Amino acid sequence: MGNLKRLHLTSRALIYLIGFVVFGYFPLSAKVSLVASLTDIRYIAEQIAGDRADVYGMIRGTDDPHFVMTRPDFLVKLNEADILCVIGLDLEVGWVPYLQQQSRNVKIQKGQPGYCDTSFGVKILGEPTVMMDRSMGDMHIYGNPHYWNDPINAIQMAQNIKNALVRVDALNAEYFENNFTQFKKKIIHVTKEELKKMEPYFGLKVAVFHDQFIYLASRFKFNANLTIEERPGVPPSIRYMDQVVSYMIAEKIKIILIGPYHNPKYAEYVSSKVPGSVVVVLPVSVGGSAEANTYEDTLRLMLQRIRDAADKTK
Amino acid sequence: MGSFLLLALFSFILLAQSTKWEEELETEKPKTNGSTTTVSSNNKSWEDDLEKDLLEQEKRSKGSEGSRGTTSPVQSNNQINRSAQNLMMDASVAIDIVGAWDRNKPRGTSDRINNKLDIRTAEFGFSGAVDQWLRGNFLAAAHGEDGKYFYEVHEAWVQFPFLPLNTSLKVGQMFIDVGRLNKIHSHDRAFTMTPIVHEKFIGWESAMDTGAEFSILFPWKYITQELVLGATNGKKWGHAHTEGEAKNNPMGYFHLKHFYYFGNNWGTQFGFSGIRFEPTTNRRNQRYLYGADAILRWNQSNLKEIMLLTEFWYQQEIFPETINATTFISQKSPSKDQWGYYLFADYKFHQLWSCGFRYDYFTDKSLTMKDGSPAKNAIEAQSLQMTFHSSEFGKIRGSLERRYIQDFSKEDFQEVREYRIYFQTVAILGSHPAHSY
Repeated sequence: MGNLKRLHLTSRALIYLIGFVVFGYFPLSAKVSLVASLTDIRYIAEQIAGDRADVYGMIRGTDDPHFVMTRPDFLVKLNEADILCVIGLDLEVGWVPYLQQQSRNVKIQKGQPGYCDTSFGVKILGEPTVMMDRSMGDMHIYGNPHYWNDPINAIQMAQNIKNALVRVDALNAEYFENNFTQFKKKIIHVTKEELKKMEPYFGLKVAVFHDQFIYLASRFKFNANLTIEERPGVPPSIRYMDQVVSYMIAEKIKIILIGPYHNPKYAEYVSSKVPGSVVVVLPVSVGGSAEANTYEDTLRLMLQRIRDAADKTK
Repeated sequence: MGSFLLLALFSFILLAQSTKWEEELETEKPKTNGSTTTVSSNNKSWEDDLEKDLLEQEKRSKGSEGSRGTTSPVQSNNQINRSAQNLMMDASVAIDIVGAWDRNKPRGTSDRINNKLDIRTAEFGFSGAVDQWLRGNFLAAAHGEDGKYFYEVHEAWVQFPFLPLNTSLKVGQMFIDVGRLNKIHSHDRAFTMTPIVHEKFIGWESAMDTGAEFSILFPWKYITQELVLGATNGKKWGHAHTEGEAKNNPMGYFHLKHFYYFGNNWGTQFGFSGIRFEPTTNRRNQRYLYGADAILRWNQSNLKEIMLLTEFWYQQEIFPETINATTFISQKSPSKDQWGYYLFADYKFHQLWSCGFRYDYFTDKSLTMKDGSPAKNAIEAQSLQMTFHSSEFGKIRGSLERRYIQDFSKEDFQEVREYRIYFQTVAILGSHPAHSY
C-alpha cells in the first residue's frame, strides 16, 4: 500500500515536472507571432493584426529579395512563429525554403495553417509563354512575383494575411476582419487618388532595369515593358544596352526606373546615351527609401517620382 | 470559245474571291481603330476598370474563403508545375572540373596533383520531403582517381526535422557537422583546393560516416546558438573506398555554433568542434580533434560581398602503452600532436567577379631529430585566386599557390618550395538547394 502511494506521488511529481518544463519552454502567450519575408507584407500584417500579434520582417526595404543570406538568426524567429507570410512565386526560393525546413517548426510548413503565401488569388502577370531554361537568366516559372506594387493586389495580400491570422487565432477573427475592411478602404482611396493624378500620364512609356514594375504600370496605365537587363539577374552586355538606347531614342522613352538595390551604373550608361533621359530610383518596398514608411507612402512616392520625371523630360 | 468562257468564269470566281478578302481586310481596319478608341476611352474610365478589378478580387476572395492557399478552390489558369516536372523532389547534378599543375611534379607532395585537367567530382543528388515527418537526401558522386572514376554514395540520410524542443535528428550516411568546411561539398567551397590542415586531418574531401546526428537550436534572443551531437560507426575516416575496420567504440563528435548579426548587414558565425575517433581496432589508440571555426560576412545583395573565413584544428593521437622488454614495466607512449589553420579572405567586387587570398599553416609537434630533440617543421602556403561567377550555378576560378615545406626530421629535401596553378570550373544543373550561412 505504501509502495502504491509512493508510486502515485512519484508519477504526480513527474507530471508536474514535465508540465513545468513544457510550459516553461513554451510560454503561454496570447499574441500570435507572424514572420514576414518582405517589409510590405510586414506593414500589411501590422495593419491587419493590430496589437493582437507580434509582426517581424526578415529583410529591409533596401534589400533585394531575390538574394538574401540564409541568416541563422532568422531560424530562431521562424522557430517561434505561428505564421510565415511570403510573396511566393519563387521570389524567395534562394533563402526561405531552406530556413523554413531548418526552423524545426511544423506550423509554418507549406500546407499548414501557419503558412501564408500572399500571392494566392492574385492575378499574376508575366507568366512564361515558352519553355524556359537557365540560359534565359533567373526566370520565374510561375510568373512575375513583384505583384505587391499593384494596390489591388495589396488588398488580396491583406485578405490572405487576414485568413492566416483567423486560421491561427479564430477568437480575434472579428478584430482582424474590421482591420482588413479599414485597410481595404484606405487602399482603395489611395488608388483612386493616385489614378486621378496619373490620368495625364496614361500611356507614358518608361524603361526599367529589372522587370519589376509591370504590376504598377498595369494598374496606373503606363508602359514599363522595356528592360535594360538582357536576362533577369544577369548584368546586361554593352551590345544589348546599345540596342535599348536605339529603341529608347526611337520611341522617345526618357525615363529609366530602377530599384534601390540595383547597380545604377547600367541605367546611368543607357541614360548617358539617350539625350534628356533620367534615371529614377523608386523605393519599390516599404522602407525602400527614408520617406517610404508605409505602403501608401511608398506607392505615392513612386508615382510622384514618375510624374516628376515625366514633367522634367517633356 | 468554250475554253474562253471557262477561263472568263474562273477569272470571275478568282476576282470575286479576292474582292471578298479585300473587303474583309477593309472591314478589319475600322475594327482596329475601334479598339484603339476603346483603349483610350478605357483610360478615361479608369474608375470603371478599378471597380471591375475590385469586384473580381472580391469574387476570388469569396471563392477561396477558408482555403489554406495550397490548392485553388476556384478555377485558375494552368500553371507550369515544378512538382510535376521533377517528381516532387529537387534533383541536381554538379560537375567539378579541376586542372592542377605543380612545377615540381613528380616530386610534389600532393597525391591529388597529376598535372592535368580532370573531372574531380561529378555529383548527382535528390532531396525532398519523404512525408509529413521526414525529409530525405541522396547524393552520389563519381570522382577521378588515377584515371579511374569511382562511384560512391556521399550522403544518404533521412531527417526528422520537426522534433519537440527545437530539435532535429538525422540518420544515415552524411558529411559530419564539424568545423566550417566539412559539410560543404568540394564544388561549393570558396576555394579550389582543400586547406592543408583539413587535408592532413580529414582528407581532401569531407569526413563522412554512417550514424546519427542530433541538433538543438537554443531559443536565445540576442545570439543564435545551435548544438550538434553525433555518433557514427567510426569504421573509416576521411576518404576511403572500403567499409573500414569494425571498432570497439563509435566515433563521437560535437559542434557548438553561434551566429550574431550586427551593423549594416554584417554577420558572424563561429563554432567549436570536438571529435573522438579510434583509428585502429585497439581501443587505447585514440585520436582527438579539437577545432574552432569562424566566418565574418558582409554583403550587398549579390553585388558585393566581403568574407573572412578561418578554421583552426589541433589533433592529438594517443597510442597504447608499451611494455619495456627488459623491465616489463608498461610505459606511456608519446602522443602525436599536430595543429594547423587557414585564413581566407574573399572580396566580391562585382556581381560576376571576386578575388581571394588564403594562408595555410600546418605543423607536426611530434617530429624529432635523430637525437630525439623536436624537429622544426611546417607547411606554409599562400594562394591567390580570382573567380568568375557566371551565375549562381556556374563559376570559373583560377588560383596560384606558393607552398613552402620544411621538415628537419628528414635527411634530405628538408626545405622544398612548390609553385602550383589550379583551374576550376563548376557547373550545376537542376535545382541546387540553398546554402547555409
